[in-house]
Amino acid sequence: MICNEVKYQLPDFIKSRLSEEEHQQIAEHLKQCLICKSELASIEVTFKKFDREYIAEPSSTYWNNLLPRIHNRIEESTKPKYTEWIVRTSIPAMATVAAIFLVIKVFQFDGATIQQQVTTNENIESLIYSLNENEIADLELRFSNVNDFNSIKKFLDSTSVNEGNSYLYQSLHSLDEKEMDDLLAILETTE
Amino acid sequence: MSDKSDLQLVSEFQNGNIESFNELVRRYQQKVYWIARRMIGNHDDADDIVQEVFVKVHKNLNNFRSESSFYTWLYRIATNMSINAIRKKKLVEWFRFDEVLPAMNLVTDESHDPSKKMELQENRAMLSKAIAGLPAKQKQVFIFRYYDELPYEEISKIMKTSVGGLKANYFHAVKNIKKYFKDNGDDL
Repeated sequence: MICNEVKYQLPDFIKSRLSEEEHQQIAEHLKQCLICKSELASIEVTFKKFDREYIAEPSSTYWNNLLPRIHNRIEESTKPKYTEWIVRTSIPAMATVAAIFLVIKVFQFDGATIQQQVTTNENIESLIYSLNENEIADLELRFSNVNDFNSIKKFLDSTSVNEGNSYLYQSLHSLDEKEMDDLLAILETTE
Repeated sequence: MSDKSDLQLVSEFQNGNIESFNELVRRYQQKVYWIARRMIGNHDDADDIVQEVFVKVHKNLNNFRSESSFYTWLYRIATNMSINAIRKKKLVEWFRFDEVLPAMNLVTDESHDPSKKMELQENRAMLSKAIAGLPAKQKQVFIFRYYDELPYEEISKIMKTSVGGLKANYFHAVKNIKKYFKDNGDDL
């Protein structure tokens, strides 16, 4: 036998877990091989540590109670836990409610925004279309030095409404900041 | 204890007899416990694993086919769950001196000499750490071969490894345990 074959069987040789034939073969090899003999001694000392092994063992009470505890756990594992039930039902429910709310909110918001946008555009468009050439020229002239909402507001507030452009000024007064910005943008492009 | 074979009990369980399952638990609870205890190193985790193993067995026993023996199947579940538990919890320091507390229903040491008891516990701690530090495969083989005295052919079925490979693993496990003692100042 070669040493590698022997050394792998040494732990079983020490514990007498080999067949009689195998045991005999190893014993013969050990008579002639000092390396394997040294290996054998080393493993024997290691195993002695295990012979002195102390480990606290569970009592008979533990073993008697184990089966009922296993059954409890089986029961627990087969029925959905309360917390799991809450998670399983409440999360999808909340998600559904949130989704519905979100959809409604988005549509409402979008609807309002779109409506507002349409109104704004309509107001501006109708305002622009209602102006004649002179009024546009007048507006451009008056707005030539102002480029923001507050300035326009101040300008409009300081301007008296006259017969010729009352409609224009009333319309301008009714515009909010966003609408006024849009109007300025439109006027800039018409220059 | 029933005289029925494992496979008879399995078959009876598959036909709705829960008492057969109970008999299998009683028959193997200690074996499974000690596999887990040796691998994971403390009572609490071993207690948890042994219960989980049998919960899994109960859940899957209806699908068990007698292609392998019941205990091969059972041991495989036990070792895999122990390895998973170790991985999950990363139990580096896994031996606890308080595991002998009577409150845990554990038998106390036979030795009444405190210094002797301490020495035994230290020896146990070293061994536990030495085994814990082994690569998973060496650890499994060592527990099956040294403690459970299973034949290599059975271990081979459980671990799906050749007998030659197992012998080499067992030998290297012993060498690594010796090395652990040497590295920690206990020159054998």
